Amino acid sequence: MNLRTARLLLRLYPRAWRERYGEEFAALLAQQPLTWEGVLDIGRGAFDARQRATRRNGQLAKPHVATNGKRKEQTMGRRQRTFNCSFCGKNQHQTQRLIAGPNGVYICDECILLCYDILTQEVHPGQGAETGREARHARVPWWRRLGVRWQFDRGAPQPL
Amino acid sequence: MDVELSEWGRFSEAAFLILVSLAEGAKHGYAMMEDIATFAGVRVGAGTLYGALTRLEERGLVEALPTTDRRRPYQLTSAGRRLLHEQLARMEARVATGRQRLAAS
Repeated sequence: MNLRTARLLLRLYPRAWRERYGEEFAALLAQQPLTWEGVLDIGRGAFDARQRATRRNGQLAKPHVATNGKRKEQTMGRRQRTFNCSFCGKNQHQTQRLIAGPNGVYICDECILLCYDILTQEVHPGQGAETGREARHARVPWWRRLGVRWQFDRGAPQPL
Repeated sequence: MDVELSEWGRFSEAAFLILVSLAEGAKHGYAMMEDIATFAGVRVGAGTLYGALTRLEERGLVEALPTTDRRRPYQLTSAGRRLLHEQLARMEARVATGRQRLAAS
């Protein structure tokens, strides 16, 4: 296949993977004929790479470039690590704060506030003002109970 | 060795074949595929090859050499060499048992 097709297939892989292996992988693909089996195999490989990236949380091993006695060659340059919120997937550049937990788990400030909302909301459908909240909050619509903050949701409590 | 190749599912066979291929000397991806097709008689797809290769690199069993002409060769590390040795020894034991039993029955 030609290099252009190879690069297209390469896009199936996650960005961090492409940054590390993309060039050599594309060169490898370009040396082979384009077949359905090949495309399926690449698709499976890309799926696997994405799964592992999620587990590893955006980090990728630095290439162990052998020195053979000479100075270590920096072929890829230093890549900045990104860490992703385990709830919404945003990385540290997309959120204000990203808090690390154990085993590569992270949570961002927005998701913490959303969890806070969920925990402090009283979900009592059918009750009126007896819950103590404003009338329009007394019956929680099904889409708000999902725990996702919707853009159209004017009644949702504002973040602190 | 705490690395158990058989836990790599689809990539375990490819990983083993890559180790054998690299035991001969450093190779880039295409050379690995051709070599494996020759000595093992199987065609490993590029996706499977790199899935196994990336796992091997992360475990420090192979290491990357500087890229030449867009292609990056890989070579076995001493840890990789040790693991291959263990794997082969394990497989030899199983092969021997199998052959004995076939011959005896």
